[in-house]
Amino acid sequence: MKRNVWRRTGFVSMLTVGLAIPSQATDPVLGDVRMDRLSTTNAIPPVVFPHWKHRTEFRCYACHPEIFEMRAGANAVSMDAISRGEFCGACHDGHTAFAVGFDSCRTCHSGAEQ
Amino acid sequence: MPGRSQRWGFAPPALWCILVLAAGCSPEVRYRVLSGVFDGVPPPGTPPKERLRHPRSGTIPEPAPPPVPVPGAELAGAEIPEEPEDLRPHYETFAELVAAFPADASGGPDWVEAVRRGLADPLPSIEPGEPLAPFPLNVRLRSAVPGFDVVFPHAAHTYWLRCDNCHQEIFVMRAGANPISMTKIFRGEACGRCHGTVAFAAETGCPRCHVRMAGPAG
Repeated sequence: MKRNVWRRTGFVSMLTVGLAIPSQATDPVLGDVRMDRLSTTNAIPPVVFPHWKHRTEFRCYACHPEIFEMRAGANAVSMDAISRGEFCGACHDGHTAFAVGFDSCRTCHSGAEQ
Repeated sequence: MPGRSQRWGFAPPALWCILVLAAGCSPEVRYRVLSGVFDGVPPPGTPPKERLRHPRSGTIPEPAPPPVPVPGAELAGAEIPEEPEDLRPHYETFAELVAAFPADASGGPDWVEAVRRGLADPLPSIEPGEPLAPFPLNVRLRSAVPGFDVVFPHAAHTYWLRCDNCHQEIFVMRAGANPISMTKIFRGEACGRCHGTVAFAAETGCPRCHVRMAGPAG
């Protein structure tokens, strides 16, 4: 019980530090996908996925439809799923692309408005 | 007071002991005696074993001898495949991309032309792999309004997409089976699944589909 409290405190403090890093939000671009299935309800800025950035690196069929179904709301992305190597975690593992962690929250959770 | 014979009474057994010890010190006898009592006694004549000592704490271990260079080791090292250098163009910001990419008729970045010019070289898959061959089929879609016929280039689409991305869920693979209208596209159906969401928008990209609108040169 006590240990659990300490772990929770550590998680929250790391999260606070991570979110304190300024976001890399830019002007909205055609193809940006706002993902806010869980973020706002958890008081975290929503994800804005830059399609254009990924399109310069990979063709559509590298991700669609195996990793992401091509329909808004069809992909239940969560941080747990990403850490299991699903969805974004297929590449964002620290090898193919930057790893998902407390030092990179605001890279995806930029909270930019569309 | 003991007599002289009594005083020297210890001499004969002591002499015997000395003799036995002297005889026992010869290797053969020692081997015969010890092997009768213990296991693993080295036979006479074998060189003495080096004693194993536990390293004392604080003793500095002797440095390992430097590896002897094997001829051809340099060649063996060269066989390890190095990560190929990434020469593909990358863009940090969208402004950078817009500046580099050619503009289409509506002023937006023309991805198809950019790929043709080598300004973008997206990989076909996460794992190393060969891209699929583009499918060279242009489909003319007749318009109710004269001069608004659309030419759909399969080649430009199959560079990015695989057949099963669109067929049969979005488009049935039979001529005339997919009645398309601009209303549908603006609703996000048919071409509007991508055009207007991730690909150039239908609102501004008219001449890219309605080829006659691009003029005689287009």
